[in-house]
Amino acid sequence: MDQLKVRGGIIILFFALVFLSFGARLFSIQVLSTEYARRADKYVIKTKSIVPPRGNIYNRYGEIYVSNQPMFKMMVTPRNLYIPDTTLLLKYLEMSKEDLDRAIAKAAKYSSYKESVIAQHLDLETCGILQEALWDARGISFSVSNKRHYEYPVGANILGYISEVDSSDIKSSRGKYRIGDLVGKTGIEHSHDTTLRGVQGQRKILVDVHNREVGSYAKQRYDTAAVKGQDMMLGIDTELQAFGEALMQGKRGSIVAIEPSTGEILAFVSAPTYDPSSLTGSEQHTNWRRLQRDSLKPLFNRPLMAAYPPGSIYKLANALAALNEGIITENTYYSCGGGFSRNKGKPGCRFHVTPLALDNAIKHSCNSYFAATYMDFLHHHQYDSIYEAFDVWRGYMDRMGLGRELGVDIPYEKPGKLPSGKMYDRWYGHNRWIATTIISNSIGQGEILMTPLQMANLATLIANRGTYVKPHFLKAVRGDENYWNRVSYDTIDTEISPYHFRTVIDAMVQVVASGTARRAIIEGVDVAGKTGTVENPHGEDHSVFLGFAPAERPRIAIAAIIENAGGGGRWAAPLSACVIEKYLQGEIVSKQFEYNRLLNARF
Amino acid sequence: MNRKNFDFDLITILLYIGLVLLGWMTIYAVSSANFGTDIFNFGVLHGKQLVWMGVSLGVAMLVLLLDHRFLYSTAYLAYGAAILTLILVLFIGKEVNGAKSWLIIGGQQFQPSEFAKLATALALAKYMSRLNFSMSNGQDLMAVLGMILLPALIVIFQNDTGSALVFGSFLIVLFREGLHPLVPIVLLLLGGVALLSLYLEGSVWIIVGIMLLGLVIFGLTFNARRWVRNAILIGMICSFFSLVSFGTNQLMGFLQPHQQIRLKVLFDPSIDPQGAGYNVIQSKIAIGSGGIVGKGYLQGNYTKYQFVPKQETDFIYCAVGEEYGWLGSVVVLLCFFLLIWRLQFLSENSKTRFARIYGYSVVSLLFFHVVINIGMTIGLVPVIGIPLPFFSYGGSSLLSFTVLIFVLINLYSSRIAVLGTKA
Repeated sequence: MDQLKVRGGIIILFFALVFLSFGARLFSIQVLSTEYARRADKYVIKTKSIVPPRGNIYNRYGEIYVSNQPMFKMMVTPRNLYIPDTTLLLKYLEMSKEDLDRAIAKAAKYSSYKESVIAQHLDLETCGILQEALWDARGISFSVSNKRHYEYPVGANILGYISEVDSSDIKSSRGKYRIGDLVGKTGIEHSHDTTLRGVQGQRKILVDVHNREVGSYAKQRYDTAAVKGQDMMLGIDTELQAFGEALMQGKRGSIVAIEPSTGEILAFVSAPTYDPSSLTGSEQHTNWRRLQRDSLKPLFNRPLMAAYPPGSIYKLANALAALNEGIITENTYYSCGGGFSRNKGKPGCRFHVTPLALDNAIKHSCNSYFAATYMDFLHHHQYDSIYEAFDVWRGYMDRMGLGRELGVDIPYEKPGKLPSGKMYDRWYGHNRWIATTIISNSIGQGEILMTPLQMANLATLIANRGTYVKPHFLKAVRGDENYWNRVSYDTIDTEISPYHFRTVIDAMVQVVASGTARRAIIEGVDVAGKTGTVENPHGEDHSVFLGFAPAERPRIAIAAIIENAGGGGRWAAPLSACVIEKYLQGEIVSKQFEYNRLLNARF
Repeated sequence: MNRKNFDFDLITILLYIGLVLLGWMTIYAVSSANFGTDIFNFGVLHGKQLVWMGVSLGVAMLVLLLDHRFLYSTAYLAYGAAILTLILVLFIGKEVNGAKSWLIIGGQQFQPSEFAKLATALALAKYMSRLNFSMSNGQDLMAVLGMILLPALIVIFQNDTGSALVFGSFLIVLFREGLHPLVPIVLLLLGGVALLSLYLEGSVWIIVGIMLLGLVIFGLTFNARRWVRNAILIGMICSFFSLVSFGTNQLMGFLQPHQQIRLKVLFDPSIDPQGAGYNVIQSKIAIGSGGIVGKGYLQGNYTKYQFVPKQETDFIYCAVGEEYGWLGSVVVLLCFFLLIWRLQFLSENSKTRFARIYGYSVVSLLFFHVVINIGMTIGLVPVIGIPLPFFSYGGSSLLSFTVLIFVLINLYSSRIAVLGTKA
């Protein structure tokens, strides 16, 4: 039997080997491998973002313009759900019993442990009533988020809207955005998103296998607080903006008003427009699709993106360039025989005094005069070639903000168009074109295209006698509770002598007082202006006006364009005058008649 | 029963108590995270387990009071009763997790297969301690195998394959009592070849390997006079193993689908990460995240927040691994090994064959449970639903192992008395 006793030893040895191998296996997965520990942390520790409220937006007078409105979601945890009385719930959620049951069934199908949203976009009041009514219910919770609230429901094209980030945003943000984040899509909300959104906080939490929160991680040592978005003040005069939008009802076009001394944009009307609150809350997607399909393109930000031939208002720019280059002086006379005689009567002109100097030329918007000036400019002997002359001319236009983005602080600005010598070479061949080939440029009907913002900027730099501050919306950012930090902007010098502006401005005053823009006369205020009637292939002429007031110490510069409305003096001039009077006097006094006529006009 | 001194084996009792307390601590760690920290809340897992520990203590004392002759004489009776109960369960049992292996007596669930282990061990010991019993006697061997297989078969019919496999551990007892050593060796080899075939999905290289191994053995044992006989023998053995290797994947078809997957996930849990592999993956993560010293008692987030299914029963070793780390896990392993070793020592030093054979049954059962259970949590053994003694929550298992161990303590303490045949 001793032989069998040995087997007892063999058995124990075998056992020992098995246990040893287990110990080794444990050593390999517990000590040698860090993969398991990493995965355990990944599954148990989750990071939750705390989204701070967005910064508020104020108008130029420090009155609240855009604020946040709490918006509640109601959520159910199907596993714990118990609602003794659903009558009030159904009444305030505007649901039928079947709807509610279906929503709960759907939530249960998703997960019985996790919270599912069954009602969104509840306001504070409804949420309060529901919380009271559901005091003895279980498995129901509310969560709060914010949506934008517009104290003045205007300026949708300025403000833009907020929406959930899409995959391309996330990709291009290099880790700044995560799925579910809200982000400004266009306008101020987009360009100043970083300032407005604040800094998200983080909370590390522990979750159980059903992803339910069970506690905080490491006594909140790694948690960070959320920082509220910064408030910002815009240069927008909300009342003026509302006024302008009302005037533009039923019309297509733009009004851009700028405070010349600061470059702050006072009004930035794009017509047709929409109510900014229609792109918040539950109806956002439906409304957005509706706006997107609208043939009048309300989402198209005309002051910024629509490029028009400027028409006669452009003669001011040409006059300034020619004066500064010494091509003409204020005493240079040209004759006009109802057309530009040096080019077979083209462009044509209306009947007025002849010969005439610059003041009358601007006052009567004489095509012949500016065609002659342009021709003399390009063919002047002080330049080696038409190319050099063209480049000099082009340099003036560039400094006056044409053909490039002005760098306003909302996205998608378009540069308009400023032709180059190369372009004409491509069209006509090298040395195959002269001034008469491109003579339409002299009266703003050629290859030059300007956005309404560029037009207003032209008015601004004339009002300022040769300089302008980069046009902008953002005026100041809130520092401490009651302190605003002003944002400073570059001043751009057009390098045109202030002396030459006197001639042009005097003429512009005459334009309003007794010229083409007589409908822009405001009692007690000297308005300087210039009309434009833009021929275009889309139908009726566009009605354009550019101006500022008061002429001596300008407080507002303006450009207005009403598409297919006809003569500039007929519509755009009185409309601009209404806006100017509203801004300067606070109300419509002398322009009551025009105001009523404009309100009812439809184009 | 007129002993003057308490002469029960203290080492065994201390190891037993240590393991039971450690086990309860671990159950508490898992249970308190979900059911509150009140220790004496008898409505929840850790409270209930406390009750079961009390019951086990009482039963252990009762067992120690029993006359060893009573155990000997009622062994067959107990076996018969166990078989009858097992059959009864087939008809009136309650189904839990797909296994119809539970009986409800007075509101308490009870698993008769646990009792069957004890009864089988006793009956086996009694039968094998007969005077003229011999392992080499075909009739005796058949009878012994029958005694083991009968309860195992009924348990398989209850759809509780895990518990049925436990009866395989009696093979160790048979080996100790003189079973030809080739039997366990061949069985181990077969198992190895089968697993390898599963792992490589029936690669032809296994067969090539077996043939080469056969050639080597043939060369080593070359005998000029008997080489024909040897060649035929070795050739037959090699062919048999090749057949097994070849047939393993076919044989898989006879298993239930969930058993097939459980075997396959042993090699690669990621083939079924949401199903059978899930438990293995989660269990390895929980244990692996423990590090050297663990996350600390009651600090195991992974087990606390129920990431490992069945963590209070079959997968309780995860909580050990996560909260006590490698050191704690090894200490638990060591405790089990020491207990098994001590029990083996008691068996070896019993004065009666009855006690020795019974003792080895206890040793084998304990070893099998511990190795299969811990092995599956660390991914070394396919998932087989059997509890970890003293650790897994549940009264049947605790009570069953308590009785198994204390019967042995009782038998060992009465080693002066002569019963049956001397060893």
